[in-house]
Amino acid sequence: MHVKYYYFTLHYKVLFQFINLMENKKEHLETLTSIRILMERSSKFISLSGMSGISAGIIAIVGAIAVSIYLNLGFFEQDRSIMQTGVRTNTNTETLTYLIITALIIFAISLVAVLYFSSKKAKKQNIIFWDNMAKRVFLNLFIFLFTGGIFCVILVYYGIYFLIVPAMLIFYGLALINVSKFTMNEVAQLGIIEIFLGIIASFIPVYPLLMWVIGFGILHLIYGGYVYLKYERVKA
Amino acid sequence: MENLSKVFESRIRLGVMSLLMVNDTMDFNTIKQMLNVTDGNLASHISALEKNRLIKIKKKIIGKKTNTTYTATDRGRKEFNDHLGALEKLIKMG
Repeated sequence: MHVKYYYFTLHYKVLFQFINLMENKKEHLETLTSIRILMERSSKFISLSGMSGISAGIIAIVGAIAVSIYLNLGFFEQDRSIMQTGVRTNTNTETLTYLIITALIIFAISLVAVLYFSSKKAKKQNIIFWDNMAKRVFLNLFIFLFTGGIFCVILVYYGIYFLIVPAMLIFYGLALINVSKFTMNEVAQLGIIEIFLGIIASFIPVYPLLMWVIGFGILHLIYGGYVYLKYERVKA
Repeated sequence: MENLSKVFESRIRLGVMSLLMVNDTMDFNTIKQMLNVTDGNLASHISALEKNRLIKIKKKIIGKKTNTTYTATDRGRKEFNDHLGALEKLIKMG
């Protein structure tokens, strides 16, 4: 059925064989493509949407604005008081409670937004959202986030407030790199930048709000926008 | 061309092997959902793969249910790679 009979056939038959060969080629190509898609779909969590990154960024910025108003602290203002360490001497518990609750609310809303937009994308891709792969991704993410959370609680306990935002950024970056093997490469890149920013923030810890806005707000917006433009808008 | 395996002529069998190449183990339902096929259809293809010793079947009993998972054998991996290589060669030809 292939080239073998080339030489023995008449013109029109040669032509026919040629067409047949082309068709076979197309079929083989399609087979290879479908294999690749199957492999990717089954081993990678591909529903992480750009919109979820954008929404997480907006939520983080809104949260930072709320904190900025409450503390009466501008984004570019230095916060010297954060450098005073020691177990709750001059920090009032009311402020602390406000900050912790705000952080938890931001985290919870972001999580809901990420799940919402990702499940929406999965529906569009016609795949099941909450499969084993998604579970693996979120478990791997939470191991790091949970560790980071506990570590931040310890920092609060000892009154080392100036390292809280850097610690958040570094643990978040590690979490992203940890899950990147199950999802898009961009997640690893975002993780590296977050860690880098966390280290910078540890050296200049007097700008906690600014570092927070860059790390959780602006970087998420850039990441989300990039992923959206690269993977999602094309299909629309 | 001689490397194009007869076993992989079926899209479903090729699909099962593709999944098991990148996932160490997979259960029946996940494979079914991924390939979008019916129970009976998938079962017959899986038994064909097993008969050719391309995949291994493991049965575990969890509670009252049996959970069946599948793994590609070394032979299966080799045959699959050969098959892909042959397909690539065909595409590059001409």
